[in-house]
Amino acid sequence: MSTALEELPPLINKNKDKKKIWRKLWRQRSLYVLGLPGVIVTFLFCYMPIWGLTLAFKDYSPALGLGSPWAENVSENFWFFKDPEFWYVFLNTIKISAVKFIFLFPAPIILALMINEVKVGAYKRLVQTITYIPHFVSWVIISGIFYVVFSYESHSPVNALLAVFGLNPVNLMANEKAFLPMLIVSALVKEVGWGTIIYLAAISNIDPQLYEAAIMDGAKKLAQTRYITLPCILPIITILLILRVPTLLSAGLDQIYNMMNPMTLRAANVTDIYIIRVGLLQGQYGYATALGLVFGVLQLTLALTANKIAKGSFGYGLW
Amino acid sequence: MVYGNGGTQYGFIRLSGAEKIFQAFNYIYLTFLAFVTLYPFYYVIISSFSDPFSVRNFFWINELYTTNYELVLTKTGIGRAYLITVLRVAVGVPLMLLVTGATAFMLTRKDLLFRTPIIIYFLITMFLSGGIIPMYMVLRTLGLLDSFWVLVLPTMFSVWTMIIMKTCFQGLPEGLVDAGLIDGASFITIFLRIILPLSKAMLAAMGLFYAVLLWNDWFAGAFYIRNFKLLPLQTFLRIYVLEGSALDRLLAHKLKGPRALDMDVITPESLKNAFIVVSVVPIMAVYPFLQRYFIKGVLIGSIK
Repeated sequence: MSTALEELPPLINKNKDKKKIWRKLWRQRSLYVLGLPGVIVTFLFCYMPIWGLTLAFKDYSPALGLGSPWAENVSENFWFFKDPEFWYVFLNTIKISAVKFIFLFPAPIILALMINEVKVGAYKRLVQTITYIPHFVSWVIISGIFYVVFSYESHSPVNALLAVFGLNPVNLMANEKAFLPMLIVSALVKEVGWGTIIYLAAISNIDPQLYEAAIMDGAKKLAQTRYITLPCILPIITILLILRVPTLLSAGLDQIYNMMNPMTLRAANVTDIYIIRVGLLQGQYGYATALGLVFGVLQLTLALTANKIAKGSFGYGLW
Repeated sequence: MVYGNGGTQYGFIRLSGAEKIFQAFNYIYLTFLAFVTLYPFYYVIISSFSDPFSVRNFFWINELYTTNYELVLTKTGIGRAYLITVLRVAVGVPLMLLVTGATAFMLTRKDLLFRTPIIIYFLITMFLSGGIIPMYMVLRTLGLLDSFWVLVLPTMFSVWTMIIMKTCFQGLPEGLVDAGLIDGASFITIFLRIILPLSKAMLAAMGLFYAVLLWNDWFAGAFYIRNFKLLPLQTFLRIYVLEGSALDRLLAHKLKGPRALDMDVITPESLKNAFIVVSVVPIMAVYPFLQRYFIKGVLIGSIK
């Protein structure tokens, strides 16, 4: 008797549940309408390109585009291990990213510390506003300005300055060796000011009593910074650090594409530029997609590894 | 007499000699930094008012020369590029706010059926992405290449922004939505009439960021559009100011046909300066008023 009774309720509940689900769906229908555009757009512009990655495994034909037939010899598109330029591009990208990182990561922190020291309110705001502005100007314009200031054929202030010292004029923008330094300087100008916002906010959150106590103990400026300020903003620094690592493999297409010219092309050859050249220019869509796929996977691996390491050494990561 | 890193004052501790030097050094260095940031802009401005062939004065204008501006403003078609960009922002920002916001609001409802799969659906896109070539292929298949909409649609929805919006919406009092429901309003009405008006600050911040993103984007116009009449401002600028790299020239010839770069001339450098000034002035003029919102936006984003 009891077993029969126990059996019965689940059956009825199943039907009830199904009905419940439909009713719930119907009641929430306007909610789904709200989310529909977002879902569609994501499908079109995120998932479809992911499907497009399969192009890496196909025999591309211009007429068929995405519908091209599957490649008979898949490794056809993956010959980049033999392509010397591939390795050059890969290493060059890492080199540029690493050097940029070394200069560009600490800079906002240092600047934030310095700005924080300023006691005159108006001056502080002025400096902040001035350093924030370049962030809002596009790379096209900043590159344009850099060309005007640094290249030879213009009436360049830099060359005028050099002339005062009796030195020969130089064209820094057309100089392969100067490309990386130019990248760093322009990136600093553009981003260092804006980067201080988060750090300044974090610094202002530090409990003043810590400083009072330190001063009582006779700590001078440097000691205060070393023992209070820096440790207190360490969590923020760590998180930002982890967030930066995955971008190691994309050395900043926006900036590089605009700053380069035929003379510096070799120095500027990074992954995205290589993909654009090979793909959009030379029409080797299959190969270019394969490149993109490989770089993407490497990037993902980097992100996961960085997170794991962060979890291990600092106890917290991104997720 | 001041003291304390947090910018507050503590009694009247005298500055030691070393600390005075440090303060002086700090001010000098910051002033130098500000100068270095400003001087290139300044130089471009005065250079744009100068005769390209005259002797250049680096700190002031020798003789006011406005021909550069006449040329740039009337003969180059920059007006159309401006128009396209303004349209892009005017259409793109509201679109982004509505679509992303609507999706964010949908996800704030914990009782949503299929909530978890939907969230996963969006999260995956944060880690996997097609890349440049597949995106180009998709746009081609969708027929979006060479149209105005390619400037607006692909970037319309961002998971990152959606997450921030969702957090903000969840900060609103819970009873609001329920009250609306009781009154018989659909979620759409609730979203439009209750949630949006209450989130003005956040929407302003997100909208501003996106506006800047759209305004400065040169990539879409350079790779996805062949029709000169549809080029947005920054892409247009690239052609004149940066003269294109070897890549550009080749790309233009390949995508747009051999007659494409009739602008294949070397732009005199003072014209370039005028171009730059004409493009930057709107931002410079508007920025001081909006700085507050931008900073707020960063802090909102960073908390998440």
